[in-house]
Amino acid sequence: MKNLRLKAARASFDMSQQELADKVGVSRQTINAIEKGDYNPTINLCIAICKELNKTLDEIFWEE
Amino acid sequence: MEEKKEKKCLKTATKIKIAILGMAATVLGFVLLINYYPDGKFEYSRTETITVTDGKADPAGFNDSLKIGRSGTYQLHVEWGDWQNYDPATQSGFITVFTLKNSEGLTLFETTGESLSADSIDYNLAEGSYSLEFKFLCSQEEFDKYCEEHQYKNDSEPADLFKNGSWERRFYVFAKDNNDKLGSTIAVCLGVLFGLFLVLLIVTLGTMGRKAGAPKYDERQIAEQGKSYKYGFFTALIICAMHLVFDIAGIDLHLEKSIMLLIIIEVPVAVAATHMILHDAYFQLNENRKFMTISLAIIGICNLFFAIKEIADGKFIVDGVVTFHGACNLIAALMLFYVIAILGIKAYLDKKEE
Repeated sequence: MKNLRLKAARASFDMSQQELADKVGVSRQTINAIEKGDYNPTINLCIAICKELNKTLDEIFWEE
Repeated sequence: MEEKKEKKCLKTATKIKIAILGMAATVLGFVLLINYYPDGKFEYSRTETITVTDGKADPAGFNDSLKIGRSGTYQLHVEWGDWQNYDPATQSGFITVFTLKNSEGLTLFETTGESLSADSIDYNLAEGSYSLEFKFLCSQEEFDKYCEEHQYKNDSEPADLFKNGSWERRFYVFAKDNNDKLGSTIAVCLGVLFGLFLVLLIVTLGTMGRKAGAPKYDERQIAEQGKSYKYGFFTALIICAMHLVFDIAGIDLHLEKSIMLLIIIEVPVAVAATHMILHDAYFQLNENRKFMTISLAIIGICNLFFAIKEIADGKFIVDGVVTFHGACNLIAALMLFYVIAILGIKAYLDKKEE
């Protein structure tokens, strides 16, 4: 399932996938895979992404 | 912060220094090995025209010497005449007696023949000079006398062997140390060390911009690498099983065993690399992909050059069997070009996706 909330949050900061990837210490392809729903990140990476985007885990990763 | 930056630079510089010094040391090792470790192979070759007139040869024989530069267990190979295409009509009208003697005059190996190729048993030869004696027997009387002197039983009657004429013959003696393992072992170890230092240099140069202590791969890449290694492992099992079946069925693949081992290593590596490349887990984070790809291409071209040289020298297939020395560079070159091709395909797919 695509993670459109992550894409939207990133876009709100006008941040590219590469910029977010550099900030959380992963490759651009990993951010791309998370957004496309091809990869389920570990909790550590989820926290790092949320901190960068000033969001909570629920706001980005909780499926309703 | 400045201190940290300095530390990072120092670390990269230290790595480069280690790699360059290591490569220089291994090259020095090779030079020393070539110059100061005597080769385990010694050759002697001489071409003479022997004229036989009424049972007398001119020259009647000749002496020479063979210098063995290193003590060891040697097998001697001697040959003269056109022994591969034996034809009584064109063969020489004399018998050659070859004798190898040590410096004390003791006969170590002796053989006779009209045209022949002979191998000795193993001899422990000490370093030093050995005398080679070639004597030509041009009549049945001379041959009988020789046999009597040496207490040889001469049952055969060489009909029409002794005749007048002039023949040009190449007399060839080859001594090879059958236990010459040390030199090649040192050379292989130096080669492996050189390769490791080269990889260290390339990887260090390819990841120069990365912060000290930063992870090499992210968690997704590590997970994908796990899958890649799994596929590589199963590929290795399949190849080993196939090899086992061929072996039991007695199917000869005309490959040296070491080539088969190389295939068992290279094919699973290619499978693992393919999965890693297609899932972006091949290159490290912030690795200079262009530099790494060019480095792979250069190493591939170098291997291809040596592969072509080996094929041109006729070392690729010896006695109908693909040899390790002839094929290892070709296999490495094919592997590297395959990886480069997959990298190209991945770059194309990424561009298409964007």
